[in-house]
Amino acid sequence: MKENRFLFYTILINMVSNIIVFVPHILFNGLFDGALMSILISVVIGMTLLVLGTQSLAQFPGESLPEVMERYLPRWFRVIFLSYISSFWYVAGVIVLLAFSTIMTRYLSPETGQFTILFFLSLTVLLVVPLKSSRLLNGLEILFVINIPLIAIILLKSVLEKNTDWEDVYDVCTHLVHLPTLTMIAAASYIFTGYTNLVIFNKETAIKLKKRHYLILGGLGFATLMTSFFIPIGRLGEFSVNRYTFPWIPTSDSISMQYFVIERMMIPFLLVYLMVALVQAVMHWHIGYHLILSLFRQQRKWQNYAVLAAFTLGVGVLQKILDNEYILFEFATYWLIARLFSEIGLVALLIYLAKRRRRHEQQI
Amino acid sequence: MQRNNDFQSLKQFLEDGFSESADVEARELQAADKQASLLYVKPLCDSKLIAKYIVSPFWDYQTEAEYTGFLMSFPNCVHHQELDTTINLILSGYVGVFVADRLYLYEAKSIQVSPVAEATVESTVQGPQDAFNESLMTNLNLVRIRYKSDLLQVDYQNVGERSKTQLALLYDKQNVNQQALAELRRELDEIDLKVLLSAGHLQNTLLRRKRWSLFPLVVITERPDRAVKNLSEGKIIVLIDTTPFAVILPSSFGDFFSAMDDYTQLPLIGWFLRLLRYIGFLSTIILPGLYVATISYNPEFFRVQLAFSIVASRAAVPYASYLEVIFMLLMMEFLTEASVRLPRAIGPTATTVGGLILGQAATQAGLISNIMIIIVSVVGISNYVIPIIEMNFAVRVLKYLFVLLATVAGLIGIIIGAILLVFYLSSLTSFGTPYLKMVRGEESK
Repeated sequence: MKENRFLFYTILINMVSNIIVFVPHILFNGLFDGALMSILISVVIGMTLLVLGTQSLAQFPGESLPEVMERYLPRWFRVIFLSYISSFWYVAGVIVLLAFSTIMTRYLSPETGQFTILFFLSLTVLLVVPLKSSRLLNGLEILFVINIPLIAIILLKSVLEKNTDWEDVYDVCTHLVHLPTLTMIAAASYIFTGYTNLVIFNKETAIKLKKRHYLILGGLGFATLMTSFFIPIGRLGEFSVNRYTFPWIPTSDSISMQYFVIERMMIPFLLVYLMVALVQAVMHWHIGYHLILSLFRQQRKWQNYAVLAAFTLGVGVLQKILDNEYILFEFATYWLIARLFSEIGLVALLIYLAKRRRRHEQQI
Repeated sequence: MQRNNDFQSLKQFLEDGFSESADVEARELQAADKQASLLYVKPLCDSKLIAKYIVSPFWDYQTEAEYTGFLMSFPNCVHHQELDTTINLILSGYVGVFVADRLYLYEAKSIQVSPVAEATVESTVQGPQDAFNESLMTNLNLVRIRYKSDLLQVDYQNVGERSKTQLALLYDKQNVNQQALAELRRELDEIDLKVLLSAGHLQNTLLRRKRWSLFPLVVITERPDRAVKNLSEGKIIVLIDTTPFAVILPSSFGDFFSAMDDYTQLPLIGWFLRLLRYIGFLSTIILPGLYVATISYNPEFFRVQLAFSIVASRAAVPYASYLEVIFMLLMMEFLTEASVRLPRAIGPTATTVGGLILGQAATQAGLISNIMIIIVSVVGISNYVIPIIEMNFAVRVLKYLFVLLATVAGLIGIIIGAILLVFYLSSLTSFGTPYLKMVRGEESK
């Protein structure tokens, strides 16, 4: 467990942060059209990808994906594939930043203005991204240990809250038998995507996952999906959950802490999730940053600054394009679908590389 | 012949074992028909005793037999029995005298020359009360009597072109952090100073490449027991002649939050005390910023009754909350600075004038809210919960950054500050070891 722990952190942080990238909203839009079935199927798909991906990467201990590809694949393929795949991490970070700056403007600080908030959030992320991976993971560990108990308390509190309408939840459950849709599968399987960060973090952490680890991860993913799906239904009602772009925030606002100095659950919820979102954005961009840097033949200092500058510029441009949350939501939906297929491609590549390596070893 | 061989090898073994250490004295006495050699740890022994009872008699007596007879007539002189006992005796202030193929151990413990004072900067409740003082030999004695192992290595080095201040590097040969030791040696060789003033000055010189670090990267202590505990953990102690403080390195963030009381109390209570310090640390850096953020950005943060009472107490205050916080914090800093510099006799006056009169009058005049006074006192008190004084100073600066962030971005600013703080701390290194790390004892990359 000790050598595996960073792996667990990246996967768990990714699970927790699904609320930010519209996963619940996409599921609630198809509440009676196969959302539950999609969740069940996505657990199978997500876990299969996770097991295959981690097992293939485990063949290359202490190496990042670009280093492995350099040994086995031609340069043109590497450049095309890595620049394609790195854009996913970059866009993931941008979606987190844009969505969270929207959330913050709406619910916490309406006077500040979205652009100012976005500026502060991006600046924070940009300051942290160039750190060494090992240092970044140390910081991540500390933030994880601070935040996960808080998130657990919030979830527990919301499960135990009185006045939750469990009838609505049962009613949604009766719509289980229904054809799933691609959009919803893509959204729900996002929960299990955290392991892809290993393409860079494989350098810093060992992958020694046994059957029980996979069972724990699968169970946690399923539980995360269930709570983030059912609790808003119970709190907000089955016919009105889909009216909120970020249904979890009104859900948390409907919970009061009677015996605490802070009464509304919403503000601690927002603050905890702001931390999670920033950590998530830092991780996404860190991976993207390193993937892009690995494209250069020779490492130079200016490249780091150039990549960071491009990242900053990209946020500004994307903010102008995706300037309202409907467009952002649509964009995120397409991104999630494209992500699912790219992830399958990435896992296929990893399996191929692992096979190549085995064949290579046999030859020797 | 056999016996002679044994004796030679014992002598060789002891001299080899000890002589690497610079504070060990191995001396030959040679007369026409007799010879003796001495081996002792210099800071532990009284040189007058050695001169009077070991060296002078050597010249007074005719034969070796007479001389050993004289030595053995003292109750505090014993024969060599076992190697371990002998090593321990030498390490606790005995002089080994090799005469005529025998080893005699003569007790010549040094009685403290300069008085050892009580620890005042880092006081404890039930721990030992000794503190280092300005004499290097006394300090070495204080460490040696607590660490009676032949693995303790002492290296001397002089620093300062004019001051030629003597430094002693102490470390446990077996489990010292070699990487840190190499880096320290390299840094010490490169030091270019006229005079070395104090332990803090040494810290700044060693870390001149990390001049803009906000946090202290080495612990400065006045407690020999802390030094000994860190020695056993593989850290390096630098004792400085003329300074009553020692430098411990490499250090991590957690080291600044451990007091020696944690080890004298029951483990559970030790944990509680440590938790208390971290809570104190958090409240001292976050509370002023949180006040600004909640008053000016999100008054709905607290439950309604509390929000109302805060607003009511602020009703008379004519300016924005950040100004109120900065005024009050500055007032408190002035008070702290003044009471450090004031002579002992006038000290209490400043606290009375500042604390009672100013606090009361400022609220009644409607310049500051009552809640602000409470917050400033909490900040002031919890700041001094941190046991190592260097960290106290660092934290005093840190809270203004949080006030600034809260002023420009409210609660978001505080979260951003917290995240940047965590990543900043985990990006720091102290002599090659990571500064902030959850799991200890892992290799750094």
